[in-house]
Formats: sequence, structure tokens, C-alpha cells
Amino acid sequence: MRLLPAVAALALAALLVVALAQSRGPRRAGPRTRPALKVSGGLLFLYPGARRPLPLVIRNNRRFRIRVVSLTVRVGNAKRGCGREYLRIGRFRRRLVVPPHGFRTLDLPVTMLRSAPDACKRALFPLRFTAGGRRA
Amino acid sequence: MRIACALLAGTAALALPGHGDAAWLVSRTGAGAIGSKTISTAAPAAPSGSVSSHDVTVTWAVSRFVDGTAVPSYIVKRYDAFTNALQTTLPACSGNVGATSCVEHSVPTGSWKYTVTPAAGVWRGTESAKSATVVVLV
Repeated sequence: MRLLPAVAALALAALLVVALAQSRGPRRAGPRTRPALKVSGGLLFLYPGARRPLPLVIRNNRRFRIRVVSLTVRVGNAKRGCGREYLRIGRFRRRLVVPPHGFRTLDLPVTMLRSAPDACKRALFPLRFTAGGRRA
Repeated sequence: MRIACALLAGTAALALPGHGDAAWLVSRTGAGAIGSKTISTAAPAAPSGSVSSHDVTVTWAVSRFVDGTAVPSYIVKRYDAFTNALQTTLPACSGNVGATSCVEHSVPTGSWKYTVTPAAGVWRGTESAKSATVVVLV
């Protein structure tokens, strides 16, 4: 019975260590932490009325499989007179699991509206990706 | 003792791999770009026209974007051969034509010239030179 307090204390200490480790884990990428998921991609040669697949690469920087549950693409304005409103990007709707330290590719449909003005000739729309996932 | 065992079991459950399913990862890194092209400023060759009664078939060559791919559509215009006044293009040749030929039906009697302008949505290329005169008889 004299061992009981010691075992309890040990278990509590172990719980604290595990909880601490998980809180520092991959829940949210800190400013100095390598992000768990990295998304990159781009497309050239779009024109009004054209619908093209936007090829994306999603990299997993962790040692475990990650199920991608959300992926948003923020489009910036290309230049004066050619705003982001002239682009439509489809939503991410599929199930996607990225292997440890691996990558997966996917396409999102992109359309440049037929009303895109002359200012959108030779324009470059910057993209920002945000990916959300969970350990698979 | 039971409390200690429960604590140990809980610790083991947390420490085991595969139980971190609730851990959410949100990555805000990642950037890219989407670029657009432009229509070549070179004027396309003049179209040609052939008459069959009051139907005029207008044909022209493919125009290209600067990257070499074909533009998706064209605007066809008809002018009076003598006054150069722009006429209303009739259906089948009006609006954005997605081919390199069209047949303008029920063209009025007269002498006409045609031009084509490469188009993509509201983008316009350079208008071609006028075609040879097409005469539609009574």
C-alpha cells in the first residue's frame, strides 16, 4: 500500500509529459515550426471564358498520415482594373490522405469570367493556400 | 490502487500512436499564381467570302494568342463596300463565332466587305483588313 502514492504520482507525471508533448505537437504550426501541410501550385495562359484545372501539390511534413479536410485558395488582385472577382476557383470536395513525408496532387477548376477586361491581359493573380487536416 | 491503475491506463492510451486523431493541423503556408495570356496584336489576314443566292459564306484563318494557341472566337463585321458603313451582322455570323467560318443568311442585295476580329470574352484582337468585295445580286 505504501507504493500507491508513488505509482499515482508517477502516472500523473507521465500524463503531464504526454499532454505537454501533444500540446507542442502538430496542432497548429507556430511561427518557427515547419507547417504540417504545404500547398503549392499555379497555372498559366488563362483567358476570358476559359476553364482550366489548377494543379496543386500538397506536401506532408510530418511522420504520420494526414487527412486533408479543408483547402481554401485566396486569390489576390492581379493589377489595377483586374481584380480577383474575375476568377472563379472550385471548391475542394474530395477525400485526400497524404502519406508521411509524401505528397498528393489534385486539381481545382479555375474559370476566368468572360467579362474579364483588357486589364487582365498578361495579368498574374497571386494565390494563398490554407490547408486543414487531421492525423489519419 | 484503482485510481493509480486508471491513471496509468489513461497515460498509455494517450501515448499510443494512432490516438491523436483529434489533433488538427492548419497550414497557412503555400503560395502560387495564376497567369493570363493575351491576343497577338498582329492583324489577321483578310477573310474571304463566297455567295450563294443571298447566303454569304465567310471564311478566315486561325488567329493565335501570343503563346501560339488558337483564340476561341471571332467577331465578324460586314461593311458597305462603297460607303464603308458598318452593317448589322445577321445571325450565324453575329456575336462571338467559335469557328473559322460562318454563313450569313438572307444578306440584302448589295456589295459588301467583311472583316474578322479575334476575340476571347470581351478581349479583342486587331481587326483584319477588309475582304474582297462580295456582291449579292437581286
